[in-house]
Amino acid sequence: MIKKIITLVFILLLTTSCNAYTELSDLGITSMLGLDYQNEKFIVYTTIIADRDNQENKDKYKTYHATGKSLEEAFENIYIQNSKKIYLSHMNLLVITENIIDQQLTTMIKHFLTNSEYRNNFQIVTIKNNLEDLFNQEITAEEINKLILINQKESGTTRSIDFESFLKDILIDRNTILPTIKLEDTLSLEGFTLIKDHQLYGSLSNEEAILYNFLSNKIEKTSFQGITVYENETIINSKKNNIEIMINSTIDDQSEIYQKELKKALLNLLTTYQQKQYDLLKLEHKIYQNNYSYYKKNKDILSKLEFHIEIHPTIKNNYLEEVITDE
Amino acid sequence: MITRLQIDTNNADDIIYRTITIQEQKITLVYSEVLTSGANVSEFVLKNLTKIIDEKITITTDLYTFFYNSLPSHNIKKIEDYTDLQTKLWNGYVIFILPDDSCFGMEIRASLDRGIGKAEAEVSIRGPKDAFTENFNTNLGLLRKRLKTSNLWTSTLMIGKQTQTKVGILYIQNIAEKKLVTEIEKKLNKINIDGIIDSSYLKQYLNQESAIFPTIMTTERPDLAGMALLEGKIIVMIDNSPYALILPCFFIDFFHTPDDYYQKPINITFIRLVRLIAFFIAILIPAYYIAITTHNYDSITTDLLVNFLAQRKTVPFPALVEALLMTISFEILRESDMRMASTMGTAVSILGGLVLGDAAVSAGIISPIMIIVVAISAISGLVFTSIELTAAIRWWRIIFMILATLLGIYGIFLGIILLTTKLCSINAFNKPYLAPFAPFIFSEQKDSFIRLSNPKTIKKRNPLLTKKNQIRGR
Repeated sequence: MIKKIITLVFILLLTTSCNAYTELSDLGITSMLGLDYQNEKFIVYTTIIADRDNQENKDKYKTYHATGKSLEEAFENIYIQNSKKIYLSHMNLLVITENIIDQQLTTMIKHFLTNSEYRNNFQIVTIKNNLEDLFNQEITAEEINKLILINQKESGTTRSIDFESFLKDILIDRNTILPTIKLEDTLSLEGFTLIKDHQLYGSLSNEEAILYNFLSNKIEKTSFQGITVYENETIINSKKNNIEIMINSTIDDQSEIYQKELKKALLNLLTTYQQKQYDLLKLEHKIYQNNYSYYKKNKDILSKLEFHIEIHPTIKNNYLEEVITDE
Repeated sequence: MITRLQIDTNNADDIIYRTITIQEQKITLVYSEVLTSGANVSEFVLKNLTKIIDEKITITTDLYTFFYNSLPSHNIKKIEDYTDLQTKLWNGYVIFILPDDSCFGMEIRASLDRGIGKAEAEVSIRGPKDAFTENFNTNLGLLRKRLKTSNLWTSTLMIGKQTQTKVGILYIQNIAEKKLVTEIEKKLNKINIDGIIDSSYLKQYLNQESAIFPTIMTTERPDLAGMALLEGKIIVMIDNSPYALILPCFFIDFFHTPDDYYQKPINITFIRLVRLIAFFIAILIPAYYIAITTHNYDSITTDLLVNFLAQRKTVPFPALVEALLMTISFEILRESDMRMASTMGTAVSILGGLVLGDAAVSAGIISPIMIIVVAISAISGLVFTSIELTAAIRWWRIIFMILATLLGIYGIFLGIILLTTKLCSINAFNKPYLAPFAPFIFSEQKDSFIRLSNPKTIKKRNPLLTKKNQIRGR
């Protein structure tokens, strides 16, 4: 009996990698990762949480960067500089440049999918500048994430995308969008970067980003041509090639101008990207799901789509204004 | 016989030999000065004997019958042989050695016991406050006071070659299983030792297995003992010990206290669940902390992880060593607090708190979070009154810490499987230790980790303890 127990314990110890033991002080917790591709080399930037200042309750960060012919080589070159074991499971943000999207997106995705240390809940953004500019300044992942989240709620100019949903879009639909940031004097948002067929396709400005969010039913609060939109609901129905878009909004004023201008802007956006053959709202996939027989019979559905937009604004009741006006 | 006794006791100074001549017959009184009450000996024995002499009362029967009828004593017994004489002598009897060498003993025991006091180890909040004492008869009296039934049977044995300690087995004959009583009697009869000083001596003989978890409960509360008897359990009471043994006991019994039945059921349900949580916290929390700081960093948020990192950066020891150091320090503090006289106890507590707390952290030996973890674990372990269960928790805490160091959270799960298997394999006098969960007894769930509000719903006794009288109130 004792022999059996000893044998079992021995087997368990050998098969369950108890060599994964690492002390916390030997761990380099990665907060933000940056990837770039220039001159046929990968450039990796990483920000590690080195310490916490308990008095100020602030984390202290250290930045490392390295290059390599492959991503793995670049990571190894980072390990050489670092006395700690790089720990990627707590990564909050991945920042990629347009070069990576354009040239090495598949390689990047493969790296993240094959490495079990990454969890897929980190946010992903694109940057217009060089990564060096961002990582040399003391801008943390939390600041960037908060910038995106707040703008998502308050201005509707962007949307946070986590790696899980990015993967889902890119692997199933082959196109997706990523929020874009830009660093000049300060950090700011620059709409969205469009990806199609694993390559860089284009970008949406902040205004176009708001229109896109209208269409994707992602507006919580925004302002359109000076009109504040408090709430919004967008419903898209498809009947063969007829796409009916119904937008119900709560605004503060000028409903006629809002209706007219918004409809014009949305149609303009949709037809522009229809001509460019970019399925902004993944409508082909919707038609595939809802009307497979029509999808099967017709090729090049995107160019045949006809958009019908109806906008129903509701003026938000402002009792205080009424009282003041009455008086 | 007197000469033999003098030789055997090496002419002990505390043995008094008093020869009295009544109607030309010499009667020798032998008694221990320290075990008998001198005042009572004078009042009830010598005074009456001198009265017989003075009044020249005629003895018409044999001397034993005469004294049996005339001496005012509640307990006069004939002595069978020399061994019986010694037993009675050392039990506070005055031995009458008659001219024909026959003897009888008259009980005039000195009161060497403290009075009935409060339970010290098992504090009662709402219930009765009296506790067992070192006197067997007093303890029996406390039980008989509560169970005024002829069905409360006792069988007594004398165990220990040198101590001849009186051991009583108590049970309610129309509830308890006779088989269990017989088994206990058999085990006790087999004991062949010099002496029994306390009830804990008997535990190792009564325990069937060497499991760390206790299967016998000790109690100094007569109310708990009474409750146990009504359930069909057996009480083993030992002279000179204020702790009675209750057997058999299941794992769930150590999560119950007698006070559970003196308060509102809904409150007790909450408290019992807290005790269950405390059990798991006591065993698992240091191991979980070691696992998340050495293997499974991704199971906690980044903020918390960075917090732990900042606290542990100056500590030179691995997490397991730190945890063991703290655990051992706590145990040393607890032991010294128990042994220290109460006048110095406060100073020791302050020193321990300062040393273990502030100074160790400032010196960079221990991280603050480890102090919190070990303190919570230790305090959770002290929720239980049973010292054996607290000790079992201590051992398993260390086992889990080692498993967590080797294998992380996977090791903790392995440990839980091991613990569950161990608990399932323990037998408490041929009854499964994890009853009423394994085997599942539905009727007993109403008084397990929850307590139902209506006492009428808890009608049946535990079927494992009694088969002959399962319905209460019959």
